[in-house]
Amino acid sequence: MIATLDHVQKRFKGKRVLEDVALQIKEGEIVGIIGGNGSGKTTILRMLAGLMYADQGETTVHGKKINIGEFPGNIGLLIETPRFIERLTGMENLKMLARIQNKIDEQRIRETMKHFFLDPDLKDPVKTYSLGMNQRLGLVQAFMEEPKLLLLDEPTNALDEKSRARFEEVLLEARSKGASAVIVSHHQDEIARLCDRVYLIEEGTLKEVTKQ
Amino acid sequence: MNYYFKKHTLLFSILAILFAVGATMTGIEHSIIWTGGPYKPGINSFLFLALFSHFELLSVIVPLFIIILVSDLTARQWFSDIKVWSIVRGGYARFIRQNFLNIIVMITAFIVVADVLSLIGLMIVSGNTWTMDTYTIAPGLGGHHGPILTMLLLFFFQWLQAIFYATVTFLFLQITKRRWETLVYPFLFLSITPILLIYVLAFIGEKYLFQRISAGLVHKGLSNQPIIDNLTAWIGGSLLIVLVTFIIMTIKRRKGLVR
Repeated sequence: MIATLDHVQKRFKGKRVLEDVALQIKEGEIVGIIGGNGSGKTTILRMLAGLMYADQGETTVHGKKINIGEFPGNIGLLIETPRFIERLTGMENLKMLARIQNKIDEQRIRETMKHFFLDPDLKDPVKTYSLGMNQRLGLVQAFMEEPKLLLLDEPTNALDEKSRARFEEVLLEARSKGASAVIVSHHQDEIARLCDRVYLIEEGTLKEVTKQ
Repeated sequence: MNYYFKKHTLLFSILAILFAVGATMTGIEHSIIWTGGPYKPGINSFLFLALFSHFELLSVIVPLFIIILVSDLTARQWFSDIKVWSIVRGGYARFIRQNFLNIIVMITAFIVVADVLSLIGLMIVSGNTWTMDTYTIAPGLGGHHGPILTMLLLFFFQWLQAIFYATVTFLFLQITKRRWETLVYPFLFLSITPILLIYVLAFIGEKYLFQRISAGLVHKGLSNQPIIDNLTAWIGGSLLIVLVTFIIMTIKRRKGLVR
């Protein structure tokens, strides 16, 4: 298993958001989560990323239990509308992030940007980017280091058809290389098409749904 | 130099020039009112008078310069997703450590550049006159140290003071959500707290208030132990603020790292 949530419970200001969530993600598997606003979809992604902790239950990623202050590493994360440093260019933002792990070179960033129809040589700062460009830059950030686990919240928000198709292509290519993904989306057709398993989150619990 | 620092350079340069202009104005003012005496003050004593005397405008504005610089350096990163993405890639401790290091490097560079520009400005208006009499440079130090050591001590206190202002800004970065808040609240805190202290802690005496602490270095008789006062105030104050920041960060960390 690349990641598991073992009977996880989470409360926010006394309100129980996750009641008893159990989820197992295998290597090379794409798991989809659907559900209404505020149902706890994003909370699940945050827990898997080590950004939030369960009140009860365990989160395990890459075979290691996530304790307070620990991060699983080797994950690609995109939660909500991405916000970059507005006065830097897209390339400068990505280089800043790439330098932290030093796993990839500039060439790899350029290639990933081109994959998502972004010009690596664009000198305009991110504040001039359209919503779609910003979202694609967020996806580049998540995919560029070829992480083993991708956690994507509404990844196709603000994307046109062409970019959506490219996203699916890149995701499937990542899977073919052994990466796993958890995708949260309102687009049920997209989830059904891309995911091996789909879960509905309702009243704090996950229920596997049959793909249509 | 990374991109982040490069974009910061313009603001850094403007503030350093304003700093130098402020110090030069003080030099002009004091050159005019100098009525003769055993030692004609030099550009070094003008600079430190401008920095530490609570009667000088520059000493009031410097905290604001530091707040603006620290806010510009950290808040853009802090209020974007770059913060979370950096933490996920390199860990929380590394991210915080890098931020602190960036702040310290930037403040040190700012003080060096601003002081050098100020001395050049003062040299232009007052000539290349340096005070070698340590009692004239820093009466509060009693002339017990050589001129080089005296200047190094004053530079060190200037740096400690700036670190204190930076830690206050960093503290407010943890409890605010917008960039302007990281400018306004630290400045209000630094300007209002001393006034409150006068009333609440009247028994301590004015000489221990923020604006007065360093004045003891350049004004005779304001404090008997300016070195102890400065070390206690700026190091103790910074450590206290860092402790409070650490507690807030730990609480927020347990709640969850969200934008």
